[in-house]
Amino acid sequence: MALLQLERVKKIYGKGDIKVEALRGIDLEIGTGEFSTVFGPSGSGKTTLLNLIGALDKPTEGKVYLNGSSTGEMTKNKLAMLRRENIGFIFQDFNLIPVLTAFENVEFALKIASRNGQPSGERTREILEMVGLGDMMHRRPGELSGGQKQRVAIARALVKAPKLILADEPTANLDSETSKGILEIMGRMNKELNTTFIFSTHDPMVMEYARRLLEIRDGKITRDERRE
Amino acid sequence: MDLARMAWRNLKRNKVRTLIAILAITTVVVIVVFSRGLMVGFTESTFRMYIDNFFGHVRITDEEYELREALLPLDYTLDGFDGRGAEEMIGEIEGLDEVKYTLPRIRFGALHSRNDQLVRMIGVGVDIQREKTQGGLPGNVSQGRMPEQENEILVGKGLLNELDAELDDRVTLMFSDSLQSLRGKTFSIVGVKETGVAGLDDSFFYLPIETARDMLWMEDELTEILVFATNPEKLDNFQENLNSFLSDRGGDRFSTLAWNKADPFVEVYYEINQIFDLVYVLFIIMGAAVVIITLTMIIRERTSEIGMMAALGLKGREIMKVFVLEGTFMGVIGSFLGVVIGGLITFYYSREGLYVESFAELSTDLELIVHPVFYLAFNFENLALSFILGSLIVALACVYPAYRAAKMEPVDALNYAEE
Amino acid sequence: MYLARIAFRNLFRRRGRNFMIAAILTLAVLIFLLLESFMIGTMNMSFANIIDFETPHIEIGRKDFFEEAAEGRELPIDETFIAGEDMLQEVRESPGFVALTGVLDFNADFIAGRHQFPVRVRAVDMETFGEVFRNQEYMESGEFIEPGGDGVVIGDQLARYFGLEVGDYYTLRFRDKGGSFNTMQGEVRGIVNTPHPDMNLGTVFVSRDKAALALGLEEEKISQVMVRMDSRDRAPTQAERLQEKVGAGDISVRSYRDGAELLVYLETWGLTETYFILALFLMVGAIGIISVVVLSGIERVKEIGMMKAMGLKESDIVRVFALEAGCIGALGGLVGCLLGALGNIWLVVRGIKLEEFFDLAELGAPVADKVYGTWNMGSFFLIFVFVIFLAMLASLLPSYWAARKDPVEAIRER
Ligand SMILES: Nc1ncnc2c1ncn2[C@@H]1O[C@H](COP(=O)(O)OP(=O)(O)OP(=O)(O)O)[C@@H](O)[C@H]1O
Ligand SMILES: [Mg+2]
Repeated sequence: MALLQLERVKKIYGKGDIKVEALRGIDLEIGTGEFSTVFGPSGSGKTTLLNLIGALDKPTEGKVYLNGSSTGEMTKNKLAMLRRENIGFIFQDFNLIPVLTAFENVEFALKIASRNGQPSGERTREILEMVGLGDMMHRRPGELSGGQKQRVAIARALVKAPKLILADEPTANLDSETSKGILEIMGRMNKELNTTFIFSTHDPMVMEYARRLLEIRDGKITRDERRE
Repeated sequence: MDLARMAWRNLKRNKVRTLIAILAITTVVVIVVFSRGLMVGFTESTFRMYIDNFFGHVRITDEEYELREALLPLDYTLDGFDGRGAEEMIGEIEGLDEVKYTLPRIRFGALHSRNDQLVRMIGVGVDIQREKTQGGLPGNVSQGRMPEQENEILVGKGLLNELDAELDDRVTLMFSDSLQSLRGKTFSIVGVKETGVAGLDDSFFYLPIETARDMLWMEDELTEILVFATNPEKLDNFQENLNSFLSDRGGDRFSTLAWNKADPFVEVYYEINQIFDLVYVLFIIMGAAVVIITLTMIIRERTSEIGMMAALGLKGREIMKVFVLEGTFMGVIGSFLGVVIGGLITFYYSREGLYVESFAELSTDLELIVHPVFYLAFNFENLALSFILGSLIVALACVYPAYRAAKMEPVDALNYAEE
Repeated sequence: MYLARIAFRNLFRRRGRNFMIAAILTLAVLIFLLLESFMIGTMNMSFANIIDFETPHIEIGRKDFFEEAAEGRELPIDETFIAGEDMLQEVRESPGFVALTGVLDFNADFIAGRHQFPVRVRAVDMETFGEVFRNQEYMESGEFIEPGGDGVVIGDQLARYFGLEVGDYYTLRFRDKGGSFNTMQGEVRGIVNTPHPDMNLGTVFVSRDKAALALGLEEEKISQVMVRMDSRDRAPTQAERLQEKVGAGDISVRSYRDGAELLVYLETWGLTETYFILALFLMVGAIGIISVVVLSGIERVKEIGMMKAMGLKESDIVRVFALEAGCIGALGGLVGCLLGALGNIWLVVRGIKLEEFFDLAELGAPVADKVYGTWNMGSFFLIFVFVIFLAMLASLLPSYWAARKDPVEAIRER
């Protein structure tokens, strides 16, 4: 069974008169280890789709199956448990916890995910070194540049080795050099750990890295293309 | 540009936040309105007891009488200027501009023996005509009427029980007259006085002053004159003028006593009231802290906006004005709501009275001149004062954070990043 | 662990704001502690005065005697009794017993010159009186009672009213056992000025053997057995125990508290006022906490959203806020307690001269000029815990509000 399965998913925002149909019937299946990109014009529904996939939100109609279970029927706490074990998020504007250092931000994510308080410092350091932040682990987000912050956010998503990493325009705030470095890290993760990645982006460079391209327009998938 | 309108719009940007700041002010203003109403109501009702029943605004007695008052002596009476009689003296005092009216009285001790037990009480000879037109006595008559005839008395409710008597009963009372001989006289009870204050209801009875004079062998004399001022706020002044008038008329034996100095209990409350005015200010300052906090946060959040305003050429003073206005609006709205809610609460309790059970039980056991039910004072002065205090303190409190906002360099403000 | 670390660091993120709210709580705690210390100090002193000069720790008398006295009626001469040796023995064997003496109280009119004044006469047994009461130590002039003598000791206020000095003549008029009027006459032997104002006006001391004779009572008859104990705390329980043991029939054993209604009234009043003021201050403190949590909630929307995306539950986020609020409460409580302790040292050591404020003594409260604070460790502890509890409680609703924000919305925001 696929890691992720969407069946006739619709998402309608707002109630009463002003309704926005952000997704209008999405059928999609994504297997473990895929590296996909969702692209499309602004307002087409990329973020909405990612939120649904990441169990941050529930569909208005249709079903989202993650690991074989439908998110629509789960309680908030169940969803939280699902997220902490299976999913890592990377957002456009990082969303790090400002009072924690880079190291702590990452370790915190690991602590949340691991059930038995296994030693986590070693792994956190490893990951941070991997994203090239070995020497600035103990700085707070306020003392890091945009690219460095994004790398912390990535390390935070990677550290618990989730099955699925969702990245919503992760490079939008970064220059192309930095973007490239980050994408390389992700590509390596994908190969070495078989982690599934789903991106949303406008950035052609990001699209080049992806092995599956999903184009979305007006809430519908208009293109689904794999390449090697 | 209309800064006030801008400040007003800004308020609506984050409604929850604005609401919280306003609610904080509302709460402290409600507290102030309520506790002021409570304090003022309590003191006023207590003070009125003292003024109406014991002292007027200023009480005139003989010097020696004041000294030995606990003994209720009849040897040191007021017999007018140079002994020309109390009638003339009252006339002259009432002729003064500052004097509204006077209540002449004779107080004396009396006894009743019941089942071999002695009941002690205090008789008060009052000028029925004056009490009826001006005094507070008729208002406290709960059953029957004021005494008119020579042998009629008005008796406090608690004393009536003590005497084991009822309305229209006859009782014989013993007393010493001014010549120190023990005598007796039988009265009929025509009225019952009820104030709800144990200290008053349990020991006093009232009779026409003419009767008192007759039975005590007194002439045109009084033990005291309660003087009521036209303008009671200026008590010190009034007392001074009265003193100089009395000594001008040749009475250096006279002593005057202002009601607020008469009883330590009253004095204590008078002073506590004054201390509490500071406490109210403290409360509002604490409420203003919430507005300061909110404003500081707003300013932090809008740092880049401030930079932009400065870049557009807005002067520091104008930027400051926007924020002070924003805070002031919160203060004014909060104070207004507080005054409305606090006003409603005080109004309700000014009608119904606040009954504190533990006090009520105890104060009837003890002979305190304190009403067991607190009637809050509802007046617009209280509301207006609380409103002004609330708005003003908050407005002042906003100056500092606004000043800091205005002082920011445009470049710094524009480059400002969160954290 | 991490939640606590986040909460703790958040405290310093908006220092100014958190300190301000903590300061409000500090003020509440400080004012409460000092007010309470002052209140209890006043009460302690008042009770001490009562015990030293009016009614000691325990008094034993006939039920009807106490009842009539409470009603404010004339003290009944018929309700006197002879204390049996077994009763006295039992009293002497009570834990904490110090001394006992018998007194005979009755009403009389004090007459001197042309005036008279109703007084309570306390006929005392000079052999033991001084072991229980301290009136003798406060003589203004003259001497205390001598057994078998005609002399009386009066309070200085009574002396002033009548213009009496030591050696002046007095008459006491009262009713004897048969109900007919009788008098005692003699000279004023001493004038006493105690810190207990009641005793300076309305009470007159005479020697007991003389009084019993004049009243037509047997010599051993007394109205109350007055018992001094070594501590005030022990009195109510010992009174109860003795009531069981010797309170057969119509004998009643009371502690000093039973007779001091005025004080109990003032105590209730004072404590109610103290708690009322505390409640108002804490209310403002709670509002402060609520607003701080709401503001933090608004500020940290994205953070909260991210935490939820990472899989934190709502309850975890509420916990972070409650912890923060608890820390603010702890800070406020701690500083309040420290300042309260400092202020209290001053109150306890230096005391407050009451007259600087108002003349409480003339109110009828037996208070001498200076009041000292007390140490109530329980109050320090309780208020500290309570402030923390209150802060956390106040934070619950707003933090739940913040935690419930939709993570999608939260991340989208701005
Ligand atoms: N909470 C919401 N309430 C109402 N409408 C929403 C909400 N979130 C998204 N929308 C609407 O749904 C549609 C899809 O939005 P979405 O954020 O998914 O677009 P996007 O593809 O991510 O765009 P962009 O590239 O600009 O990020 C848009 O029309 C948007 O206006
Ligand atoms: Mg988007």
